[in-house]
Amino acid sequence: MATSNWSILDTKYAKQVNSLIAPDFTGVSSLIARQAILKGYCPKVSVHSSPTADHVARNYGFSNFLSFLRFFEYDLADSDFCLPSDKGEPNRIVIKFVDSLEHIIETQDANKGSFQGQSAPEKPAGRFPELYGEHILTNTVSRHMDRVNNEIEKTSFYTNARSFLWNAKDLESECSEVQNSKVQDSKVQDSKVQDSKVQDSKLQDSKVQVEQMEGSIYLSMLSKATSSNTLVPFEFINHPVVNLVVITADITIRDLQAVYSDQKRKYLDLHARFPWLDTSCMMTLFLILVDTDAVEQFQALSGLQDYCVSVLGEDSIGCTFSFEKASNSDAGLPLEKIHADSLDFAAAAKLRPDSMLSVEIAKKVAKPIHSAVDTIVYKKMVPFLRRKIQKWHEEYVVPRKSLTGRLLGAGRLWGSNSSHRSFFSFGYGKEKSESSESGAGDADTTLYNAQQGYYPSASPFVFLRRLGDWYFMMRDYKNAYTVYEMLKKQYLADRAYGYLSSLQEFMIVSLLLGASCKVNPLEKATDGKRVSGITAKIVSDVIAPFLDSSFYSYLSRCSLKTYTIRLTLVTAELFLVLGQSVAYCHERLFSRYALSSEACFIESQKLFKRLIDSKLVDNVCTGVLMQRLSYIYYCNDKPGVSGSEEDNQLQRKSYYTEFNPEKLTFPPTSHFGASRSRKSILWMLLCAKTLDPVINRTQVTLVLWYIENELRQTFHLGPESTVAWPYRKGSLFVALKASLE
Amino acid sequence: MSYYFAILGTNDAPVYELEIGTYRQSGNGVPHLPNELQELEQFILNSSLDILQDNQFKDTGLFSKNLDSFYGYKILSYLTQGNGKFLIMTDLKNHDESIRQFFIEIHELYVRNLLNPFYEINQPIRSADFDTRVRALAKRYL
Amino acid sequence: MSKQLKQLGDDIWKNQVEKINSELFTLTYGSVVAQLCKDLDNNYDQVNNELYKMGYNIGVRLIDEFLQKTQLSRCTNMHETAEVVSKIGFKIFLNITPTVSHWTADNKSFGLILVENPLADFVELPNTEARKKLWYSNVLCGVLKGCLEMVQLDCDVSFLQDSLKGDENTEIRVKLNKILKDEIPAGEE
Repeated sequence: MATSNWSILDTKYAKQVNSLIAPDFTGVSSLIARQAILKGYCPKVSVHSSPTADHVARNYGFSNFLSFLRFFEYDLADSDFCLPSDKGEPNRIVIKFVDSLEHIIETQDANKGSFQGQSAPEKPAGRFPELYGEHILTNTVSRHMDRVNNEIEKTSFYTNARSFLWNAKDLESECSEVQNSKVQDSKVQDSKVQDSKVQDSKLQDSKVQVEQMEGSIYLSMLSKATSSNTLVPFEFINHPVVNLVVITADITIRDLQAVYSDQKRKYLDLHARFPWLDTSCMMTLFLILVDTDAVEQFQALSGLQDYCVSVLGEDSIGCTFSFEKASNSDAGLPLEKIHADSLDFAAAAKLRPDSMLSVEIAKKVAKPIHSAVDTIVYKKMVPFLRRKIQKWHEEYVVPRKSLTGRLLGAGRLWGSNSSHRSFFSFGYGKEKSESSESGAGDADTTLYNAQQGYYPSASPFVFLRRLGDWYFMMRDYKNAYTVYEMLKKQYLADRAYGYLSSLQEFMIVSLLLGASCKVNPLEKATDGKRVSGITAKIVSDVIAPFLDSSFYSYLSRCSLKTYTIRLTLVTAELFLVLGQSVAYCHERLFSRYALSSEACFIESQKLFKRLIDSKLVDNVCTGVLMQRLSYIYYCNDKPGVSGSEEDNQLQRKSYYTEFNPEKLTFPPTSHFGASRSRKSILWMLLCAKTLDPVINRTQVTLVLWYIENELRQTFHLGPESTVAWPYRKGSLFVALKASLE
Repeated sequence: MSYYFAILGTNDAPVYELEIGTYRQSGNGVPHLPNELQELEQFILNSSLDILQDNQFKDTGLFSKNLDSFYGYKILSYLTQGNGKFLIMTDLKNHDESIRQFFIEIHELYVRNLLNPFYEINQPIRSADFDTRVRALAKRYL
Repeated sequence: MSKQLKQLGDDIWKNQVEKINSELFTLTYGSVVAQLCKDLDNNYDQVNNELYKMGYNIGVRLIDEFLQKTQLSRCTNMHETAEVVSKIGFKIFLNITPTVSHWTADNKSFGLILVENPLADFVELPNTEARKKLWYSNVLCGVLKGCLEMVQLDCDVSFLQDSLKGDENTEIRVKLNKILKDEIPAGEE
């Protein structure tokens, strides 16, 4: 069924998570949401395809080779990113294929008007482009929501929910019937009971399905808010690390040479126009497509590869498959259905028909491409990243960290064109005055260009930042944090606020991501003790002030709305991840100082409220955020359910409850007071109001169903008791219900 | 500057509610709760019960002056020994002590009301006498 | 005379009577009334009757206790009876002294005004119908009726007004029908 469209929820990893942390109507586990965040922060591979390669893609029904490749990237997301491999490093990496660099920059430049914050264009620091256009986030979410709504309306669960809301009495008697029959179940094997059981389980399936789809709405928002192709000078997450040049094997050497030099020239041009853009750090990789049906191409392949290595000095890989899509006569061939990540594609849905979210490709074709992608990632990209990281680390980090290096050698490495420039922390005063002297500074290749608001690409601070980001992409959060930390003072001294905010954001994110990976509840306990490493002191001394300062400078100094959203949303979600991870690891011992899961939830709640109150996103997104907030409240007492069964038994045995209905019921003592379900209801109600019953009938119906269900189950309230407070006239709940009827 | 005051029974359902404005700062006792809040007030108080329940066995005092808050409105609570709850939601600041006094007096009224043989526990309090007494107390303290 | 009676009543109250907690007493009576209302489906006329009967049964017994404690001799007129009922009867059993008032010209009928009514502490009548019909403390009328009948006074005893219903006072009206002759119970010579 349609569920397969929400592919991030369909991975093995997601299933693993769901079996541990059951999804709720209010939302999916944050461990799955983390996957979406990581996907946003993954290394990018830019694809530059020759016209002949595009032609191959068109044979398979794609507009170009990039969109063809993108169907293969998600295969990588199928495992737990946070499980360490034997070598102590994360073993799985996900990547994202993006457009070629010059293309990205061009679109970005063309859209400058709509991409930029409107206020203060004269301020140099405010000239950074946003992550995405102004209405893109809303459009993405609402379009995704529309699609989800369409699916949901078809489910039996939805019909049931509607009748539950309005013909409550019938349903309730039905429910009690079912319950009664359950009581007698052991004795009477009535066929009616069987029937209702079958129906029950069907309804349950349908419910699970709806829950998944509901969850995907938030995930679509989260992925949109975190992933972007926008290139900015102050962070390198979106800068492609590999430039993949896709050619077909029938290309002549001369043409190849032309493609290559054309590429190089374009990069030089770009560098001239955008001095912060450094293309030299990218790895160029040729992907040579070979047609199985053309024998002569096989021979050409090795010649081309030789040429690439010996003349151009670049790496290359070959990939052999049939260029022509199997015709109908070959229908017997085994097919492989490949899903694109609908969440990523949702943004582009306008351009693509829905059917494009999954394609069927003959296994014979899919397999070589899968393995080519694997080779690109694990044989080429990862070693390349490691090499570079190690090199830069030795060049820039080691001398700064070692005392002797600080005193003696470092200066040489730093100052490239000025003999007496020192970047030691005690050298600030002098160095700053120099930078102000050099005013316009376009001749200076290392110093902060205050007027244009960027560091030139040769500046060591750019390299350090890139090193940090690469560590980050490789999910070495500890080293990433160390590197980021080294930069902070400099950015602050230069008043490079864009750089500073982004730096602090990534410091927070690497702290939290690193911590949550350490307490992964999916991981089998190895040595028994696990510590997240995040303490209340870190939160109050590092995370909170960084967050405040970044929030302020993104928004007010740089007028970067989308970055502010990303900062808040990601931090909030990561706190939730941490909280949930800690909660589900609870039987294993933690450090006494580590942040408890409740404390994490509270931090997360604060941030979600802050984002809602900031009015940075519009109603649809606010509604989705409120639902997420509701989910956090819902999570508060999970897992703690194990104790309650004993309590219930105790209760049943009690004399009082049996003979005296007026006697106050005994609260379940093991987790009494841990529940926040009433808070959860409140926010769901606010969510329903924000989503607006007129505009978004389906969603509001579901949300109201949830509230109604909770009210009845938790508080034993029924609509027949019209005096009961939620059903009173004038209450929002009743008003919303009425407006749907 | 207004108050929303509610007495909740042992089953957490409201048995008595009152919206009243302050008499301080030359107020005349007319409540000015915005509509968006009015339609939600029961749900807001209900949601703060989560916190109340959490604190119930941790704190010793009956009165809690910072139970919860919701967009500039803070929620104060008083928990009777019999698990009845008095809750006030207000946008007034720095009146904690007088609200505490108010709660104590209400507690006495509440107990008297419980002793009425015709009153059944957790039933809405419809007594006009009770209402006038509460209003009188509100005038004195709020 | 009246002063002596008052003194006597006070003495007996102080020295001879066992006391119980007034709230326990009030609540006990309250639950009885509330339960009656429930059992009789809020038919308040019937509730009044039941309370009256209960009171009557108490009264016919209570008089012996009264006489044993007070050792009083026969009253000479209704005025004296009224004083005894108010200053001793009500005093020793309920620790209140209703005011005797509103004598009719023929000296056969008087009112007892209860300034406070220990039975009705905390009570608030639940609805308007109850307010119209229910005599909450009707048991008192029954008790008086029973007592007086045992001392050869056939009286009509009923509530005239009740502050629970929003009236100004709580007043029990006692009206003498006739003085019964001393009769030797049947079977005893």
